[in-house]
Formats: sequence, structure tokens, C-alpha cells
Amino acid sequence: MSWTDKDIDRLYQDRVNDLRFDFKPKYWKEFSAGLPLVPEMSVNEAPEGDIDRLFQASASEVSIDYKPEYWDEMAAMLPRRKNRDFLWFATAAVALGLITAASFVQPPTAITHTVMAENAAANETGVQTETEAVLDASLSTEDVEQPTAESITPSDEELMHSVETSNFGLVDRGGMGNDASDLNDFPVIVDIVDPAVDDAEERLSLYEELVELSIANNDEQLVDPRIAEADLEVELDEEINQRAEVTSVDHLPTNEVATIETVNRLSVPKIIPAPTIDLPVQSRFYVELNGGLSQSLITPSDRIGSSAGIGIGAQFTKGRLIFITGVNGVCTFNEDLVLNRQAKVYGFGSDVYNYTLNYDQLYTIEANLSAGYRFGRHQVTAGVRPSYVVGTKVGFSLIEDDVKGDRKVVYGHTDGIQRFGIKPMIGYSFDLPSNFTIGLNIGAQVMSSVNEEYIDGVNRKLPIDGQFYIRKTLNWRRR
Amino acid sequence: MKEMRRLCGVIVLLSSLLVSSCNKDIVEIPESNDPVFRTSGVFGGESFEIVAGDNNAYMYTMTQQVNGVDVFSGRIADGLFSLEMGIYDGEIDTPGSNPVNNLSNLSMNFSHSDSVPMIQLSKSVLVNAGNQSVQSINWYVDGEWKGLNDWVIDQPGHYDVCAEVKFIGGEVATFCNDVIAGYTRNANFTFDYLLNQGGDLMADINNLGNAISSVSWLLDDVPVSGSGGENHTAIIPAGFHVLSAEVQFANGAIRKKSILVNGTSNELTCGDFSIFEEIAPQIEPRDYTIRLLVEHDNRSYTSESAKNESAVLAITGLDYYGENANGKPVYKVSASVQASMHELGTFKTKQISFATVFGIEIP
Repeated sequence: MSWTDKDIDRLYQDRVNDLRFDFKPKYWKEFSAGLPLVPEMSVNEAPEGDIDRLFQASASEVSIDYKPEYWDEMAAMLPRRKNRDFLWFATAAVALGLITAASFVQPPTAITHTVMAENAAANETGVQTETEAVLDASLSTEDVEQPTAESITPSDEELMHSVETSNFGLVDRGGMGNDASDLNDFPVIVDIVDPAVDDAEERLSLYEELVELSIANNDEQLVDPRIAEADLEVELDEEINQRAEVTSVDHLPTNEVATIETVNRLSVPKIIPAPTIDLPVQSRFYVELNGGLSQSLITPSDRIGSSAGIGIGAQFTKGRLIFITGVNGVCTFNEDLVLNRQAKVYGFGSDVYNYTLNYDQLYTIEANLSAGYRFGRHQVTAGVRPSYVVGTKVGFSLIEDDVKGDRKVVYGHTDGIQRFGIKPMIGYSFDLPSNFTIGLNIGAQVMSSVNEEYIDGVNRKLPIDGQFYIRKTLNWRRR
Repeated sequence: MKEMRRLCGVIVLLSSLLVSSCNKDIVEIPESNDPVFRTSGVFGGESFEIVAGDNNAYMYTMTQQVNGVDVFSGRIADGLFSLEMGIYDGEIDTPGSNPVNNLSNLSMNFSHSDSVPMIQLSKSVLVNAGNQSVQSINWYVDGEWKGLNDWVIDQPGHYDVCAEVKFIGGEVATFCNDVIAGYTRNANFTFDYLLNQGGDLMADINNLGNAISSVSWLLDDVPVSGSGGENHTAIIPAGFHVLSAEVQFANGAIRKKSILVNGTSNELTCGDFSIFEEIAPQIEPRDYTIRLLVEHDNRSYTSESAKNESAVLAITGLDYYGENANGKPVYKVSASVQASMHELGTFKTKQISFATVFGIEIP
């Protein structure tokens, strides 16, 4: 999944909307310290919800330019994994870091405080301020065309327009009191921390104009009556200096942080696509014991052959799909696999040799190649078992003049046996606790097993065999 | 992960040990094969087929001797019909010759017999006409007495001829020489001598242009010390003695010739038997020729009773097969033959033609 800047911004905004900060007095002190004319306010007078709204509104207008180096730095801190799942995690970490940085570094914008002031005025006059109207319009989902992500995000022009047209809260309140609760009656004039207004001096000059305007109008309603004019100038200077310092020191360089645009979650449809999850392939080794019964390899014969063996292999799981590759060593016990062999050898005359071979045991190496599907603890598989006879236990006797000699046992004689075989099979297994699995495979030998020239009978077509196994899976993961 | 690797390693190791510990005895079962020796053809208008190993037929291989010469032979027979094929040895005066190598390079012919006698043993030929001391000679050929004073050998061969000479004074002395007739002599020499009344002997050999490797002088089959050249002088003791010269030629041929001498009188002497070889009729040498013998219906037939000029013999292969029951090497001869077979004791002939893979013992 490839992440765009907008995706990252939306993620950030989404996380921001979920953030909630408990109010502490020191937060207000820090916040008010950045204000040029900040009326004293009781700590208890700042509703917690307003602070949250202030912060969210402020954060919604924060836009930080993205640089690829940020991603490289973040990626370097992460452990190397081939799993793609790391990407979303890294992105979320970056967003969280930005949120934390933005919340403790960036002071609120003038618009936020303008909204506060306008809301306060509107509460008095019942008139919705322009800014409030804009915000309401953005909040409202009725009779308003559902905004897209691009339309909701305030552009720089809108921000500038908002700044320029704002009255900065200069309203005629028509009297005021000394009650600190009248705080909202007093406009708060704060600096604008906005990329639309880059020049700190310009901001400062604007600020001074507002102060002069209030002084010229001798509008005591505009200033804190508890502050004398002289003190106001002094304080104004101090604030200007402070603000200049703040402007020059505390301002977060806008060009150095990723651009994040916050959007009101209520009005924006969920546009962040769910990340696709690429499931890893799990590999596990297993060892097993197996045993089985099979039809006779030759016909006519009503004998049943038996087998026993051990095996090892690997099981690959991807989701519900299972792939099994393994090798089994199997010993097959036969009672009716009797081959008679006669040879006439010519020379100066000729000699006739008659042997009887009893293939008591066949030692086979067979592969287990199967695929299956898992239903919880149940597995259904299908596959093939190619095999190769690597050895035998043979009892043979020599017949000379119709007289059978002593029986001897030898190993490794494979004449008369077709060494290669292949068995298609289907199987079922059930997972037990402690990584044990029991299962049953049923297959049929497709290829002929014996050389018909030397047997008493013919090859049975598709002799069926059943193999029961108990398997121990060993946990193993690639590191 | 490490545990898994160890587990797998242990399993592989145990499996290897298990497999390697198995006794891999293999039952040695001979494989059926096709008949090796067989003959099929027509004899006297009747077809025949003999396969060694079927119907009690068997391929016999042996070396026979015919008149002192080896005949490398084989005979296939099923009890009703038998066919024998033989190859006469060649270079019989060259010990250690390799018949197989020579056979590979020769186009063989049928042997034949002539009505002309090969060797005429005669007292009058052996003893000078002026020598009245020799009364008679009894001729022994290959240890058998053949006749008095004269005897004819009518077949080529390599014979061991002994002459029992009886002198007028009643003395009797015997000496022997080998005589080769009808075969190639790869080297020869003449034995010349001079014996005076005092018993002084001077003898020398004439190599007739053949390169000589060594000469050994023997007196009564005892090597004479200090001798080794082509010339020899000695003082013959009184009484009859046999002086022999054994010459080994550069080509490997070895010949031995002997004379009878008496240190008392130079008239009581007889020369070697080279004279008989010199006057023998020169026939086509029998070296590496083939003869056929057939037995059928209790009758025997041979291909040598007359010149088999119309006989055709084409040998297409000569390969080593193995050893027979006597430990002698046997070769497979692939051939096709057309010949006339003469019934022994009669003048009847029958034609035979056949193709064969025949076994012949060739040492």
C-alpha cells in the first residue's frame, strides 16, 4: 500500500480528533504567556470542553510540509522486517509524534480566539458571527452539499480572508464590569501564527495598530481597565518584545514539519482506506509415525499387506491453505509376493536354473506431496505419494530336479520388482492438543509393482492402501 | 531452529546408518541367453540343425593329433548327427607360434590328400652305395616298426623316424631324426661331417641362408662342452655314438638332426634323414587348412579324401569365447561352408553346405 501526503494528513487529523487533554493550570499559564494582552482569568473559568475545541480548531488549521527525510529517519529506527505491515505502523507513529509536537509547541491561531470572542458576542447579541457561520456551515451536513476532503480543508486564501476580515473581536459591549467573568467581553488580541502571515513584523505592526486604535478611541472597553495606560504601553512593549521573542523563538518553523490538515471527523466520510493485510506463510516441520494396510499387489490373492514407517516433512500454511512436503521411510510386509524365476543358460550345452523368490519385505522411500484446506481443526488433503523401492528382504530357494533346496535370506535383491511407484491419495486429519495430528490417507498404486514375467499371477490394478499416521508438528518460524 | 536442524541431522544420520547396515546380498541368478553354438544346413539333400544345449546337443572342443601335427577341432553332435571341423596347426617347426593371430590373417582352405607318397624311407637312399658295412635297416615311425629297409609315408606330417641299423659285423645301432613332410619348413640346415680312421671328427652345419641364433652339439644326447659354433671337431670314442646338432634359427624355428658315428671305423656311420625331406614331393602345405568330418546314419564322411577344389569356406568371425572343461581356450568361429564329403571306405560322396557358429579349441 502506498501512502500519499493526503493520507498521512488524514491519519493525523483522525488521531487528533481522538485526543483529549486533561486541563492543568500550568497549561493555561504557558498558553497565556504567549498572549500579548491576556486578561487574567481564573483557572476554573476555562471550561475543559472549550479548551478541547480550541485545540482541535487550532490543529485543524495546522499544515506542515512533508519531507522524505522524515520517513527515512523513521524507517531507520524500525527493526528490519520484510513484512509490509510495518508501513502503517510507522505512519501512525509519525502522526502521533507530530500530534504531540504540535500540541505542545504551536500556540493557537487568531482565528480560534476570534471564534471565542465572536461566540461570546453572539451569545450576547444572538447574532452569529461570520466565522461562526463558516464553522457552522462546515459542521452542518444538512442542506449542504457533503464536502469532499479538498473542499473542507481551508485553503491558505480562506485563512487569509478570515484573518483580514475578522474584527479581531472588537465589539462594542456597551459597558463592562470588573467581574472577571466578563472576560469574554474583552477581545483578546493575539498574534497570528499562520503561514498566511509570515512576517512577524507585519504581525506586530498590525497588533500595534489595534492597540492604538483602542487607545485612540479611548475605548476602555477594549482594554483591561485594571491596567493603566502607562502600564499598558509598558506592558505592550514588553508584550511586543516578548511576542517578538515568541515570534522568533517559539514559532514552529512551518517549513520543517510535515503538512497535516485536520478535518472534522463528523463531516468527513471515512476516506482512509483499510490497509490490506498480507498474511505471512507459516512453515512448520513435522515428524510422524505411520502404518497401514493394503490390498495385495498381485491377483488373484486375498492376502492383505501391512506397512509401517516413519516420516519427516514440512507443512506450509497460508491462511486456510495447507501444503505438505515430506519423506517417509516405509517397510511393507507381504505374504504372497512370490516370484518364480527360471533361466536357461546356453554354452557348450545348457543349464536350467529354477529359483523361488519370496519378497517378504519391501523397503520404500516415498514422498508426501499434498495440498489441503483447513476447517478449524479439521484438514482435508489431496496429493500424491511417489515412491522408490530401495531395498528388500528376500527369501529364496533353489529348485533342482524338482527338489527344493534350503531357504536363504538376502537383502537388496530387487529383480522382479518395479522400483518406481506413485499413489494418488486423499486424506483427512484432525489436530490434537500439543501439536499432535492424527490422520488417514487413502491411495491407490497407479503403476505396476511387479514384473509379471516372474510372478504367479498378474498385477492388481490400482491396489488400494490406507495409511494411518500420527504427526508431531514442531513450531518453527523464520527469524 | 537449531533444534530442528539437529533433529533433522539425527534423523538423516540414523537413516543412513540403517540403510548402510543392511546386508545388500544379491542373489546371483544367471540370465537366460541365446544359444552360442549352432549349425544348420543341408547334407546329402537332408536339412539338419543342431543347437548346442537343445535336444541333448553338445559342443565338444579338443586338440587332436594327426601325423604328429595338432589339429584344432570342435564337434557338435546331438546323437543323430555330428559335424567336426578341424584346423591343422601351422609353423610346426616354430615353437611358441600363435595360431590365432595367424588364423586371423589367413584365408583358409580345405586340406586335401594326394595319392603321391610323401616320405619314402629307404636304406639305399640313406647309406652310400659303396658302403657295404650296413646290412639292413629297420624303420620305426613314431615308435612303431614299419618295415625293413623301405617304408612309405603317404600323408603329410611331422614324424619321428628311427633307423635300427644292422652292420655286417653283427653290430646294431639305432639313431633317430624327425622328418617333416607336407608342411612349411620355416628354416632348415644340412649336417656335414668327416670322420677318419683315428676317430677324428670334423662336423659342420650349412644354414642354407637362414639366420642362426645358436647351435648345440650333443653326443649321445649329452651336450658337448665348449661347443657352440657351426663347426665342431671332436675325437669320437670307440664304438657307436649318435652325434646331434640342434640349431635354433633367428625366426624361432628349431631343428635337430643326428648322425650315427663309430670312433673305430668310419664305415660304420650313417647320415641324417634330411635326404628324405629333400626328395619328398612338394605339395601345398597343410598349415592352417581345414578338414570336415561328418557322422550320420552310422557312416563317416571326410573332406580330405580328394582335392576339394569346389569347396567354399568363408570365415566371418573368430572370437574368444572361454575355456572348456580342460581349461583350454575356445574360440567361436563363424563360417559358412560348402564342400564335398567322401564316405570312408567307399567312393561315395555327398555335398554339404551349412552356416555355423562353431567352437574350436585353439591353445
